[in-house]
Amino acid sequence: MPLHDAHYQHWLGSHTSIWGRRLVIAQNGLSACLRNKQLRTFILACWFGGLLMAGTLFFVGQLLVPDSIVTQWVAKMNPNLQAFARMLTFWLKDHPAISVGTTQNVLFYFYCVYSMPLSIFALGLALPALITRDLASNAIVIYSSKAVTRGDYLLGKFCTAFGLMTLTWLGPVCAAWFMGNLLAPDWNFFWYARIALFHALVFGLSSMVILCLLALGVSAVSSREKSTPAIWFIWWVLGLAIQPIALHTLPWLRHVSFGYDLRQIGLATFRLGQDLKTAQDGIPIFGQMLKNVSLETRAALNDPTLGGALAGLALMLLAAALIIKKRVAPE
Amino acid sequence: MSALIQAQELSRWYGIVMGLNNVSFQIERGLTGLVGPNGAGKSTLIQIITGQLKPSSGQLTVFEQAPWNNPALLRRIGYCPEGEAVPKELRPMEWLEALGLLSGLGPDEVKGRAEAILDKVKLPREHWGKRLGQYSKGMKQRVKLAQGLLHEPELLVLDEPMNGLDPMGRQEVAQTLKELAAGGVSILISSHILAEMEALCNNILVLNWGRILASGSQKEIRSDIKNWSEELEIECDAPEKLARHLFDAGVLAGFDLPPEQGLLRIRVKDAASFYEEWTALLLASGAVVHAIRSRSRSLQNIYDKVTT
Amino acid sequence: MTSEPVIETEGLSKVFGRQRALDNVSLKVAPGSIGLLGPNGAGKSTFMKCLLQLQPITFGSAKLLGREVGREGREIRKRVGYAPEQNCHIPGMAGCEYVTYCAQLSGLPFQAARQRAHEMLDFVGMSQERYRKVDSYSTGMKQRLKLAQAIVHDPEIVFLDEPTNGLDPKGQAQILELVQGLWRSYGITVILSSHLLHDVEQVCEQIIIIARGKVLVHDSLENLKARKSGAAEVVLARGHGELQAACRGKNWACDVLPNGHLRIEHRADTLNPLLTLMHELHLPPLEIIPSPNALEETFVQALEISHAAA
Repeated sequence: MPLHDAHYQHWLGSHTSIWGRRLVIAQNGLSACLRNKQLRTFILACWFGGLLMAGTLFFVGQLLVPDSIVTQWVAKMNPNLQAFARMLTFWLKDHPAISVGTTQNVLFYFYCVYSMPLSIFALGLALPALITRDLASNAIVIYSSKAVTRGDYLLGKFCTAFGLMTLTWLGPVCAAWFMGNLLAPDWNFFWYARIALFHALVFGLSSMVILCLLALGVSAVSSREKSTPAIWFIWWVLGLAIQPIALHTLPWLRHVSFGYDLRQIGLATFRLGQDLKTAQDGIPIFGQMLKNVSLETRAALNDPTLGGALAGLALMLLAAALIIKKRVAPE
Repeated sequence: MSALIQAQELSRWYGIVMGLNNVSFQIERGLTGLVGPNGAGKSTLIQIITGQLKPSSGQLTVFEQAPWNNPALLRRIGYCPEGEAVPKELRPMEWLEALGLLSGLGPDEVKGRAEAILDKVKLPREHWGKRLGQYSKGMKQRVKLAQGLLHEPELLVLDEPMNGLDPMGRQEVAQTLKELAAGGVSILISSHILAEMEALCNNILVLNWGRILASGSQKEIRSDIKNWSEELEIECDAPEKLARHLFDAGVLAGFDLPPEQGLLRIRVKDAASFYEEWTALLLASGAVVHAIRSRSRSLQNIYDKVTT
Repeated sequence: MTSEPVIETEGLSKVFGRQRALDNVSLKVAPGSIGLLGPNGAGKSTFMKCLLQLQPITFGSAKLLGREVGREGREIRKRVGYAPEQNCHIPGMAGCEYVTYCAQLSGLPFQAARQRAHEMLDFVGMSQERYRKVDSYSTGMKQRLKLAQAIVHDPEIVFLDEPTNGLDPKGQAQILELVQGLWRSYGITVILSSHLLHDVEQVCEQIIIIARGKVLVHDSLENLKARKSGAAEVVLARGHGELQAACRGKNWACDVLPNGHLRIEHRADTLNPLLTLMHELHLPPLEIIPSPNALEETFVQALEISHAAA
């Protein structure tokens, strides 16, 4: 057949499933995010943080073992520390579960909570790629005319944000836990450290869901690419700034900051108050050190303002939902 | 009478990018259409005529004066631009009154004039209270036309004046423009809708790539095109029979029987002599004729031939 | 090809507050190329948006391709294409990426989507521009891109809203030719919404006129023209006065149109009597167009009736 038909052809194949289409939306959003060079740098920084965390776990793990290089090195530094180190190794021998579990729990609390700002910043950078740019270019009309509903679109975008946070937060945390325990002196460390991982996952996944939903809401507020990240960052910074002021005037005002609310969830999940008590009881030398911890902090650790935090977050999520409902419409 | 708009070796450059390249033409009074592909230089020309841009070289005069930096001349020109740029927070009367005062109308007469103009462009009174931001495309178009006419200009320049209007609206604007032309106002319209320009404008100016390709009346341009062949399409019951008859009469330069039933397309050797015999040939062939259309007379065809 | 109606509405109504944008619209539309006409704010766009589920229906029901619009939205939209009037694209993507993405959103797997995206870009006449970002496209290219994304998933019906808007005459002609081909050569039903009656006459075989939320006219173009037969627009080089006088003598109504041509009501089925008259007067016709402006007259008439009824 010498002449081939290069005209319009009909298509008779079978369609993909709805989850396939949602995945396509998520993938497209994530590619758009990753085109941002700053964001890529942030992701690298987050994984570097994970690497540091793995190193820290390794170091601490070595501290609990006699004759390890680290213990010897510490001993050479200072004879007092040598006694301290010996005490730690006895602690491990007597109470392995607590020593490893408690230590990692505390370490992961600080790592999870204090690496959160990096992820919050990354989400801020990614906001235009979520809903903002689509609002500006009227892409919502195109989505509405395709074989996806508004719910599918939002689910896809949510997965974009969730995928991004997996890269910036969940991934590094899990990798740090795995690497840290892999390099531990004993395979049992995996078992002892399971609580820390469990707490990290509970805190991590719930925070990720909340942050992603809030990010979707903020990204739908305006169709200007510069406005939505600005709103996100200003909200975040204001929340931080308000903490010391609100503490002494209107304590409930602290819940305006999503960072503060998530920290309360973190405290409640990781139950640091209990760890503090365990450490005190287990090692007298800790008891001396920790007596200096202020009553206030102790109270905060034992009794995070969880109720207020959840209420605050619920209100924020409701606002986000209302904004999305109003703005994401094919008009 | 001197020409309304005269250009002499007019050029306008934007750095290395060309807007207009050494054009010379004359536009007479009456209704003139400005046509050309996108990027041809139509907007540049309009902006020079309305005094918004200064020529890079050469000159352009309107009413024998250069429009650049010439407020007295601009008072005689009205401009209705493309696009939907109207102040969103104002109501039409407020805007027109402000513009009228700017044009030098007294505060007493400006209100009456604004109302008269809004009625003339057929903007329904029930919408006068709304802000311009709430208007549909078609209503915004009418308000733009109104502001161009407010100061009773002698030359009205319009860029896509019918954009967004429904068929009734288009007819009304066309009618308004015809009335204005009959009343002595000269009108220059830039538009892509050739069918409407054909019906509305006597004279045409064709631009492409910043250069003038044709200027004059449709008839003049047509007669000036080389290798012009008169092409007709006849809708009849027995096209082959008619084709044979015309062929035997020796008037055809070529013919075509398209796949659609009942159509015959012919190219004629010599238009002048052909038309002398045309009705006789048709009736003698015995064909039952339903339509005779020209494939070559239309502005679309002129445009195609001129811009290739 | 079945002749099941592609669009079926029963008492379709859309209410915005106190305004009835659509009032009890009941239609059965057969496959074909359909022109959707109506004044601004008449309910034309609302009608399309309700069918495409861009707006929810207030009362009544609508079926598109045999399926309920409210219930089976996703399924329907797998086989429906839409090219909106306003500019919309997904930013930051090259043309071919964008069309591929649109195909995937309509349910095509990636390989097929990519293949068809390029095929459709060929079909609409886009060459190397397809590798550039959509944000940098000219109006003409954006219109072509809109058309490509509307047909990339091989829909059964495609809605086009002012597809020639902003295009220069050559661009208009090209797009219209493509749109014409969609039904005539490939069997894809086209619903063309436009204010340019000239375009609609060229492309469409069926006409629907909507005004004040009601369907005023739903008929084939042929029928509409037949109703206006017996009149012709005559283009003459000279002798207008003579012809007018002769027509008056034969009791044929003869008006001068705004464009200078003559409109003669000869009341016959063919042009032969008119030709005979012109032959007697030695006046050669340059053009004789039957039922001139049939569509425009129908439109105006329908609106007048609707105004009177209101």
